[in-house]
Amino acid sequence: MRKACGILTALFVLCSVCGAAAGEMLSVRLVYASDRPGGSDKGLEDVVDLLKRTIVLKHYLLRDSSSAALPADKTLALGDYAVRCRGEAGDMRIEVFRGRKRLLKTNVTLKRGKPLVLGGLPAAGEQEGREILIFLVKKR
Amino acid sequence: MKRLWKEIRQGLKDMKTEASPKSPEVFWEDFRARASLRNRETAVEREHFPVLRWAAATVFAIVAVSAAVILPGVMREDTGVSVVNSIEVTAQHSGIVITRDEPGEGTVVWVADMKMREEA
Repeated sequence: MRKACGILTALFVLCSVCGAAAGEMLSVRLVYASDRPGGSDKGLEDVVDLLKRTIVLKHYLLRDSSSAALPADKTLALGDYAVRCRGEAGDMRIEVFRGRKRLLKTNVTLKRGKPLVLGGLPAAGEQEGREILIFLVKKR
Repeated sequence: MKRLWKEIRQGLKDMKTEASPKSPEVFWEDFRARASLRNRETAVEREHFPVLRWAAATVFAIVAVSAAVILPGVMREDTGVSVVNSIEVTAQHSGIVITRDEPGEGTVVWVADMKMREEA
């Protein structure tokens, strides 16, 4: 009985520690935005109102998405971009590259469920429109 | 006065209960029986107490670990929106606008007229 209790406790502690480690994840979406008439993709339902209010464009198309466990030290490939994310949600360094060229670097504090939109990136191979990166911290 | 004392003595005699002194055999037999009963109770307590103690310790450990793991996540308030602490745009651009959208609780960074270097 004593052994069983000990084993049970150890298992519970182990599971709890694993559960705590598997806490949050960073989701990154690449969106193409243009002034052409059109709706928006299903994968953007949570942010489309935010985009329409702040970036006055009509059409939003989800081009790619990726994610990383937090704290992160990972380069995510999204379309033509490489997005390097380092750190935890409260202090994250983000660098955006296209090919070998770095377009920008930023240091941000991300709050869970509160999206950060990084827009104005020139759309690859498009005459018009811009590309947007949306960063969102979620529960894993 | 003498009569009074007589009455008192008689009264006390009447109240006196019959003492029933036990013989040594009866006394020791009784003593051994009680002692064996006491030992048996102690043995029973010894058998059950560790189990209860371990069960209580296990429950306590589970509650303590749950509180330590679950509560910080539940209690933590993600107030405010995401914040841009610093930004450096290396590509050619004309300006940066940072806005907060209160209804959507989002932060929007817009880099105006960004161009790739070879396009510039």
